Amino acid sequence: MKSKEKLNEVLDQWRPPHRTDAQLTAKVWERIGQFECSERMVERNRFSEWWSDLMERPIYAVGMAAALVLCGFLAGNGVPGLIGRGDSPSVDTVYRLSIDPLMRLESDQGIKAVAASLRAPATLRWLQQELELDPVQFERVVLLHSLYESEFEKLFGELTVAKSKFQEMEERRFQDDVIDFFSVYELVKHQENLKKTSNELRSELLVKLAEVMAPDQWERYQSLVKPEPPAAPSPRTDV
Amino acid sequence: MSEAAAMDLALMRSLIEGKESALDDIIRLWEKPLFSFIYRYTQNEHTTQEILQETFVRIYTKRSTFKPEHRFSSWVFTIAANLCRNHARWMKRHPESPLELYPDQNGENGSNETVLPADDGPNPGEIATDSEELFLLREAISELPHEMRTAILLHHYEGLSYKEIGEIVSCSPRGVETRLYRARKLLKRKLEDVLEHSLHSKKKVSRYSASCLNPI
Repeated sequence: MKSKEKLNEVLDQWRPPHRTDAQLTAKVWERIGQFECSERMVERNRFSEWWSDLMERPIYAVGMAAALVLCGFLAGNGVPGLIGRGDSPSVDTVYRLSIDPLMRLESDQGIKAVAASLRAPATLRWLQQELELDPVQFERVVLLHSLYESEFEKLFGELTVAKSKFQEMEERRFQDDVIDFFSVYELVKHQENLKKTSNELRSELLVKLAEVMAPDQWERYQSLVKPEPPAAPSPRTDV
Repeated sequence: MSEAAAMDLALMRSLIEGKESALDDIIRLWEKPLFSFIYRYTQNEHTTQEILQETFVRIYTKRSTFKPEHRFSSWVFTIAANLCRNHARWMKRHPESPLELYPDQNGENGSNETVLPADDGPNPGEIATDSEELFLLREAISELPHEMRTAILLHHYEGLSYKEIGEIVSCSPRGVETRLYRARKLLKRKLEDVLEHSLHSKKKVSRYSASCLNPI
């Protein structure tokens, strides 16, 4: 009986060194954002693997010839680009991609695909935690993003089409050795207009967000959306 | 149902219905009890923080699997206990490599952000402040099998009933009782010398005090 009491006494002596982590909520939302990104990556990779397996079987390959013609672009360019991609972009990168169609156009296929299909809640929740937005501010931030979301998507679609048209034209030029200067001019002009619209739209959103945020929150926000500096060149080893 | 349990259930319902701020409230309410449990299980503060964050991530990502007829506390501690067990298994298999990824209870990959130090265990500062009996207790608890360790920690520190612990370690309340009895027996055996010594010292002190006080 006494040893039982003594054991309880020793057990009671053990107190964990609990220090409240002020950043815990933000860290959890960041992880959730990353989890959702990687889940989408996995889904895409699963589809890619399934598709590759299917195409290895001659019967299916012949049977789906018609479908292949339609999906040629996807199977030839889109899907293989995603095979083997295990790393997922960070939440801040995904957020930057979601409000910048030009950045999305320049980034690789996987990140583009993720950004295109990423639903806002986790990313915006992460933003709320990072900037410590109160519920009223958060509501307005969500509203603003939802207002601009479709515009960004539309612009990204137009930019992608313009880019692929330009690539097609380049291929034709290499093959035929003929340059249609007027078409090139038209296309370049169109691309420039799209880029200008994209920049204007993004700046417009940022101005409206600045009105919602307090100065210190705005400062933090700017550092979050600031594009990452290009990677430093690797040091020379042949010296 | 207690007020706290009803509150947990209401928050979980809100989370399932899409009110994401409910997770913030769940974190606020459950940070401390979960930290205590995970820390006593892993005995490493860094590991505890990692598992704690991962527990809340799982609460969010697996929210659709929560059944309202079960207690929220049982569900939460099941997640935390499984993560602790996975971590312990990983450390056993890879004693010298940093933990970057460990499979969850379904054998699927867990968070790919989980980076933990290779030298798991209490930090030197904690060891230095421990008394001899506390040091032995920590050691003895870390040597207990998962189910016994979970049972004793949840029963003694978190005040969970046999039924709730049974839901967590997947056994009957009777089974929990047996596990607790065995765990206590193992702990007593490990701490035997210290407990005996302590009891003798107390007896000696009381005898000495009595002998000193008698003449007066």
